[in-house]
Amino acid sequence: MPEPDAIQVKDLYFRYEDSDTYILKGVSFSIERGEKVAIVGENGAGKTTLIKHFNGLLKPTKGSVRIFSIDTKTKTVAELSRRVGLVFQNPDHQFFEETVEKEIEFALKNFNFDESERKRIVSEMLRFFELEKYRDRSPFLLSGGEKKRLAIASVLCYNPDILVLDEPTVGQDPIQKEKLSVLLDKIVSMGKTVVVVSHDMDFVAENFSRVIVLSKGVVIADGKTENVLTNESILNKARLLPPQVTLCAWSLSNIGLRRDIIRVDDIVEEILLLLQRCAPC
Amino acid sequence: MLKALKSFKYIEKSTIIHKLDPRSKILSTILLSLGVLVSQKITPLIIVTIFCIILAITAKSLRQLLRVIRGIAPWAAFIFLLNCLTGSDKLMLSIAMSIKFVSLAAVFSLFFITTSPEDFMLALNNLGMPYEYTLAFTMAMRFVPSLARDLQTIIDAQRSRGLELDKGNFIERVRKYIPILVPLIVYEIRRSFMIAEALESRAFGSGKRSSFYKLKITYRDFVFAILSSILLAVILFIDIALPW
Amino acid sequence: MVSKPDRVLIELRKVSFKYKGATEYAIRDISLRIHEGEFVLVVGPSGCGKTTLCRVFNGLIPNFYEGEFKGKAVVCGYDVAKTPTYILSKYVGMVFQEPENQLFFSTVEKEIVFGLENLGLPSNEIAKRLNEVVEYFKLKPLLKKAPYELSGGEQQKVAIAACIAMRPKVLVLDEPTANLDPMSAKDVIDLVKKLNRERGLTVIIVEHRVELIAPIATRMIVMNRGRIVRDGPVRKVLSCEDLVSKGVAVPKVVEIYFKLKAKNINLRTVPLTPEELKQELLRG
Repeated sequence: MPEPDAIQVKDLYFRYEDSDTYILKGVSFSIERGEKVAIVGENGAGKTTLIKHFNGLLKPTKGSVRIFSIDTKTKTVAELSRRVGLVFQNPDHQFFEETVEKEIEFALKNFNFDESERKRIVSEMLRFFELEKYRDRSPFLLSGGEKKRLAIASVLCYNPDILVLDEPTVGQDPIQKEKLSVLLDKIVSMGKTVVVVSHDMDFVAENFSRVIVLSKGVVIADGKTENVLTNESILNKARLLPPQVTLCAWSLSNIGLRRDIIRVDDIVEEILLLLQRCAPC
Repeated sequence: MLKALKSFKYIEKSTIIHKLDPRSKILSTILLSLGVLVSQKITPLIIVTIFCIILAITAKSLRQLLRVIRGIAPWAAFIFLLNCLTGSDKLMLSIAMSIKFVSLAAVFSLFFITTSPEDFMLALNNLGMPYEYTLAFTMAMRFVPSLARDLQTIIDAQRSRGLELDKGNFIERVRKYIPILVPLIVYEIRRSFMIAEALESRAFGSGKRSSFYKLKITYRDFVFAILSSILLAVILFIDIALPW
Repeated sequence: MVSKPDRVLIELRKVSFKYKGATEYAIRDISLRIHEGEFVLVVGPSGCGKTTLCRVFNGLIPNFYEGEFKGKAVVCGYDVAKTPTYILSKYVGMVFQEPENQLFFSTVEKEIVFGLENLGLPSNEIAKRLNEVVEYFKLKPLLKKAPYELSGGEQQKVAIAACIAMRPKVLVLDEPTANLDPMSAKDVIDLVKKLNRERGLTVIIVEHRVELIAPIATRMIVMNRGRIVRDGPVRKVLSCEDLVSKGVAVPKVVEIYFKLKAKNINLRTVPLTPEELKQELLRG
């Protein structure tokens, strides 16, 4: 029997009860276990609404969302959250404890981890996210970037099978972004699934092999990042801009560069090849 | 409850009702709510409710009004039950009490649905209230939907971290609101700072404000005020003269 | 440009500020001069003091935020320590990150009029200025709409318009595109560029999307831990190889430049746009 998809979204329609406009209009896709996928699209395209379906905060108006083949309609948010960790965009929407340490511990307590394990995990998280020196500090006193890391730690700590992050790079400097991308790879290498919603096209280009484009509640593209982010008509429709590397490739295309390059290392390599070929002439 | 709050959001529309001077709308709201409060009988209360519905149709805002009524319907039912249970054997009075609640809500929400917070503020300024006070009121109105949205997001975020609000005994449940109320309060305090900052950056507080918008009473306002007064008279008459 | 090129609009001399209750200074010993017509990009890792610096420019610090203020800051001839923000706001317009918290009223028109009323302008002058910004920002279709109905990009456009109606000399923008999608971000930045180029408006912008601003800005200030660590023409600052290690995002095109350099391909100057990269490569 083949392994069930980590996330399977089938013809998902969603509208709030008190409104008659659908925010999601027939969204379908599936994400396999161990995949790392980016969801992109303009503001108001329905990205946040979509990911709130993954742990059952929202239930489909029509259609279905299945997590490891379990219909989200049949489970509570707490049951689903144990497997699907959802990190919200704004960390200020969740901190309430007196210390950073307790903030991480919150979910562990809710999911009934015993005390010794909680201590171990908290220390591990603090170390990994470079928050050790803030252990006893109030979460409210952290800088924007630190808060963001704490928010991720406070979900990652209980080791969910699927990690969903809403705009994780906002307010992060390049060093932290780099660390984030290493972290995401590490999580994936442990057989977990990662879904990221992001506006940061450069981050998406450098770190994701698959991207889903949402526009006005509909999936308008789902495929390899280098195909999707270099497709002008898709980008225009979703009000996105190509990564700057791609713009460079386009500008160099009439002197022989491929048009579907999205990563810095790739374009550098291509330019070197190009220069070598030109060297004799 | 949150939904009912959200329906108070003012939407600018160009109708006769929206264009009425806020002062005449205030007058009418006071008159009608007085009538509602005094009345003990079903007929006049229903008349007021229907009057509100007609006005809402004229103002192209019927759906908003109905949403408010729907939102408070459970409360009205609760009042009805309470009245029945507490031994008042007058069924009609129990019904009247719940309709009273609905019609009062209709009168007030109609005002807020059709009057922009700024117009209301301007009216209060004209009636002698200082601008700082009325601005605070506008701000409060303006940020109710934002507050409702923040609350929802916070609930979502904490539930995503395994918080189960509907589990446990009463005390445990109350304690579960700490993870929701703390971020909400902190966030709203921070927001209030950002708002204050933005206000000052737009030269607020200089003290020598001018006013671009002027209120103007037209014949329509007289008609509306007279209509409301007649309605009040009818309500009072029915209330005294008719059996129900 | 209409203005005299070297008129100093903002001068900070050894300015430090510590928020009340904080243990460390948010900014330390900041000295800088900003001239009329400049387009200044301010970058640095989160918590480096960028926002605090912006707050000095229109007097929110030290007037609105309490704390310890040292040094001297003069903005358009006013000593900020002695001038309330409502006076400085005539000269310095401020646009914040969250559109939601700077738009208060039920229509775009009222939003623009609010600041003008605060300045105490007569009705005919308000009407004139309202018309002017509506024309310039093409706001006609949005005028009677509620700001919260608009998209994030449109909201920031309205916030900028509301500032510009007050005819400031300097526009300070603190991460105006942080919550916008890429295309809306570009629209907002293009608008700011237009204001700078067509009207000679002095712009100070804190922005993470360096790739959008770098080709437009005339000057780049890098902050770290409350201090200015680099300050100069954009191209010169971006030529510093250690920016990324200082926590500053650089445009991908600059990264490409350095990676080529590591492979012994030396371009003459740091390119700021894909087109410049092409020109530089063709030259070599």
